[in-house]
Amino acid sequence: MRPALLATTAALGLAASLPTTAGAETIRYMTAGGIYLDHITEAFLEPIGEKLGVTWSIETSDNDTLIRLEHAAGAPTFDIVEFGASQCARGAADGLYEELDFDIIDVSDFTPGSYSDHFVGSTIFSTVLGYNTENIANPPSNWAEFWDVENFPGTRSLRRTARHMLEGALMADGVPPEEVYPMDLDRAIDSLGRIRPHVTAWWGSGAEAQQLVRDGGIDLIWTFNARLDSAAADGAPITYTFNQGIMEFGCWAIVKGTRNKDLAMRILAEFAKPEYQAEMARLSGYGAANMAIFETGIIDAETAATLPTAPDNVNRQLLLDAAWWAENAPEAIERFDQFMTE
Amino acid sequence: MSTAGSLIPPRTQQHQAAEPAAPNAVALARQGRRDRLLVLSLLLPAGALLLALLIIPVGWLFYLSLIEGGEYSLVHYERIWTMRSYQNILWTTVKISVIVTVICAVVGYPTAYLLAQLPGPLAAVGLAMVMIPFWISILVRTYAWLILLGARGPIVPFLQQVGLTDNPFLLLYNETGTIIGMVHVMLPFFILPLYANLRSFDWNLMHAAASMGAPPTSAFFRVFLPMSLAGIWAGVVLVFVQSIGFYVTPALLGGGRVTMVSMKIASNIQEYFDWGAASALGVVLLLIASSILILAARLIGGGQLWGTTR
Repeated sequence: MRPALLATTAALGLAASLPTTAGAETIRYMTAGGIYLDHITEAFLEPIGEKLGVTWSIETSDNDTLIRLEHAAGAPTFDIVEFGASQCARGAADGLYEELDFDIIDVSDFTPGSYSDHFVGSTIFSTVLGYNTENIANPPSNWAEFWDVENFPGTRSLRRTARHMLEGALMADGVPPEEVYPMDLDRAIDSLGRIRPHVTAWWGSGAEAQQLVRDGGIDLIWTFNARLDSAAADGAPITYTFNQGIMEFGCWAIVKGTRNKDLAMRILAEFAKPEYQAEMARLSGYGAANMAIFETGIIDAETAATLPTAPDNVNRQLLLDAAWWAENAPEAIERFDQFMTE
Repeated sequence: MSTAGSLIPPRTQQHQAAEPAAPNAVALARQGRRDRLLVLSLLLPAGALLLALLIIPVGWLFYLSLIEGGEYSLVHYERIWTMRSYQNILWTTVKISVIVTVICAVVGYPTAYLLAQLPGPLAAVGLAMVMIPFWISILVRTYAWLILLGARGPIVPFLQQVGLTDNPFLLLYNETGTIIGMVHVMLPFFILPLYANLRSFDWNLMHAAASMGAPPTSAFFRVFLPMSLAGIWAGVVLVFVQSIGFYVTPALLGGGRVTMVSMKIASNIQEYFDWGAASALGVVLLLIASSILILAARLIGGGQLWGTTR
């Protein structure tokens, strides 16, 4: 009971005010906030904290600026971080993270591409094509049809970032999914230029996207699958297809220079296990990097079919190439930003 | 007696200290030194705070903006100077800030004018109405505007019904929405300094103008308005300088079509971890803000702008 209580309190961000318990190590963990953190806490942090006698000190952020700052200052305070795949890959390339020990961490059931020497996949989300079922009788079913404003009328919204949008723009221009990488930036930007006059709003955060489809008057949108689930659960007439969705995985990494490296490695070994990842998928509606979650019995068939990583869905989607982004992110993002301000 | 320069207001005895051979000259000089020391030591905490929290960070900002790959370089400024996307961002920022400032002045002046003439209790109610939105989080207010200005909000469907527009996104996801949201946030910053200024206006001057035969409009434009210029400028400076640094409101209400400088600074840090590029933009913002302050101080005199004299 007591460790669970501690973990919960830590998850609420009160860890600093607790007296240090003998034998309990405090792990500083950075992850996304909001409901995602609630789910991560319930699925991973509480049970694993109890099992390994670990308390958590949590900071939320969607970018790695603080980790980079501490790295530059030579004073890391975090032990484990969770970001998006391209951030992990870039961070690894810049030497922010420890090399992982795959004798301890079992990735044998992981989706190919969802781990590397320096990070392992957590959840898998997908940018999918959602549409308003009341306003749209004949919905588009892929990027090219989303670009076809004459045959598929409706108000449109896209994401305000290079990631996923460049991939989508290439597919809209006729590039087959398996040939998207390495990306031709000129072609992607040209393609985006053709849809731009028809995009009502470029959303920034998942919350914005959810608001757009719920009461913002947007009929057609490419956004995160869990956000559309959420909008639908709120009663919005929204549904989506996984067709040509772009999957990206979250990833855990161990911060270079942490004093708790061995413990962090053991924690990542737990994080990677299918039973915890299955519980996370059940709670959040996100897929998991570990494909063995479907054999745990934790997820019922109905839920399984709605996950981006369900066998029927996964084949229709593209997995974001973290390695490509690690190498090309600065140029790709700069080109996209310029496009948005021209 | 005191020779502490401008730090201590000159006293009438000052010239006496300069007289030679005054019997108490030594004691007076010692007293003067003690005064100076006291003033300096009293200023020390404030000075240290300024140094630690303002001068060093701003100096660091300038330094970072001149560094690329560990060497001195003007590349960050070159980028701002030569790349069209940066010029567009700067132009958008200045344009929106000017428009917001002008609207705040046009809407805020009559409001402050009215408030300044209301009797105490009514003025308090009026001021409360100005202040209450001011206390609500900008994020919350911006989300409220998302609903109000949106395609399903009360305004646009009405405009569509009466045939004034056929565009459901007339007021949102563009500069119009951004400006509306920013004016709402900035209005108190215009009204409050102006109100303070107008409140101290001596209304007998208007009676005097009337008694000299000036009709009300003429009395307003030739007596009242010129005397309120300092308040107007204080409001203009506050609104403009804050507007050029806006982040949340354009990010949400602009729908990705409006990029202001602070948004680019954020992406420089979060997406590229490029402190040089971000710092250079920060310096440019600082220069724009400073030039507005200097301009305003020139136009109406620094003392009136900073509120040290009336």
